[in-house]
Amino acid sequence: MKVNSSIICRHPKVIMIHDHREDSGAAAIISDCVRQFRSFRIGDEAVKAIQEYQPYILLIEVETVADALRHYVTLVKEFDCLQHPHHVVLLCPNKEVGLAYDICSQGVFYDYFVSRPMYEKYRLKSIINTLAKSYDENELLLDKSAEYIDENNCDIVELIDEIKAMSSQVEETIADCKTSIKQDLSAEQHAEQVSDTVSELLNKIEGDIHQSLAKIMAGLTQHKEKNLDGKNLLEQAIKQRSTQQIDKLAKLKAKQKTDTLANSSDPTSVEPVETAAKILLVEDNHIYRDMIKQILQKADYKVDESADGMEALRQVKKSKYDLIIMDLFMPKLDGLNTTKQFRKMANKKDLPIIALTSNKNKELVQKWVKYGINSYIMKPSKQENILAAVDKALS
Amino acid sequence: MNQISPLPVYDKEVITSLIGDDPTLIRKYQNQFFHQAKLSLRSFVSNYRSQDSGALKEGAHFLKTSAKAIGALACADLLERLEQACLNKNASLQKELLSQIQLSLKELQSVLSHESK
Repeated sequence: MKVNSSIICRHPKVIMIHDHREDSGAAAIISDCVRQFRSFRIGDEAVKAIQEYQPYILLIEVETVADALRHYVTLVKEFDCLQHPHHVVLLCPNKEVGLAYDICSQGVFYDYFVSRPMYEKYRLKSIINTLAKSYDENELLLDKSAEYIDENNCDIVELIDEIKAMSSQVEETIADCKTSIKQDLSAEQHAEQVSDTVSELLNKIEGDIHQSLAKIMAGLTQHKEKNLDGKNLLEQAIKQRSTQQIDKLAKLKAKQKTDTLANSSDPTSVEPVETAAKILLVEDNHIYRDMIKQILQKADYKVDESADGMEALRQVKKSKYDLIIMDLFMPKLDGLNTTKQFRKMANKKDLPIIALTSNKNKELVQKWVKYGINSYIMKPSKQENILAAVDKALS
Repeated sequence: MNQISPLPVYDKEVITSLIGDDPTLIRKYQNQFFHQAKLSLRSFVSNYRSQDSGALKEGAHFLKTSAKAIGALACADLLERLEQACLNKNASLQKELLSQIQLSLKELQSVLSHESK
């Protein structure tokens, strides 16, 4: 049986490591198309196999994508495995497909496949087939007849043959180009000799320029030392002037605030902000996000939006914000982990963060504070409660 | 089937205390909610069939936010129960709650159409 023949393979070039409690079925699919395949539960035996067989293709199927990354790093760093050319395919659960996609699109792993639940086994076979072509296809793959191509369907058979012929033509053209490039190489060697001579000349000129520059710099240093006293005096004057301007601005702001309070006829109305504070609103539900945005904009705040933690991190790196209002439970990167990331950033340690949550659990709230969240707004809250929380966080 | 949420289907006070009493704005958010709920229900069914409790829970949490915000209290309550059923991997309760959520959305639609007349 094909399945058995690959599972008992003694020198597997395709290896799957897993931490299965339940079999997802991936191993059976791979062994159905791969000649040299073995599957190992994560542990000493798996490490030993990877060290010994140096697989071309490594498939990792563990509980979470983060676990897969950890196992891979451990294999490379702690066990000194995988120091040879290889490709990694990540077998992930459906709920983490976005994360797996991001990881592969960044080139960390070759590709991903959703194995839990398993419903597209041919895509996994396709990934393996494509990868096998990078190595020795015949050595890796089992002979498979094209069982779904109906030989009686002339149209399809003809089209396939035509495409295969076209591909061969393209390959021949590429091969011809390679030959002509080789022929041109001898001419290129001659050009290299000329280039060497030119390089020598250029080096000489460069040396002369450096000498001249050194002389100019020495002259400039002397000139600078003479002017240093004058510069110090100028810096002192600028500093003094800046301090005066800051004092003046602070007095002006204080006066504005007093005027605003005096002019406020309705004592329950929310106090308008002096200058438009910039708020980043992070919430995956666009309806609720839009509602909060409208409330904040009506109160004269400038509002930027993010739909998840990853997007928020990117925006915070790009722009400066006075406050972040953030949902705690979001896809991709949740509010707590996003907060942790913010706190690791330089100049963001004191950035006020208000959490949006519908959870009233006090222990959880304490945990959030530990993570760096300053306060929270219950979902949904009244308009005045939201504005009061924002005002308090900004003051 | 009996309605299992003790909360009212709709409480207008919730949305007016959040965004004010502009009927056009309220109607806009209600329409957006129904559209969102329709898409969510489709993914709920698909995630329920594939027994992906994690994805089902995430979806329920997502819709709960807007359900609460527009004042669809019974629906929000059912979604919260669905989240819990997903955590407990209780498939039969998940199925029952999915029917209840669908029912509560229909009732909400009916209440809102009466209100707008």
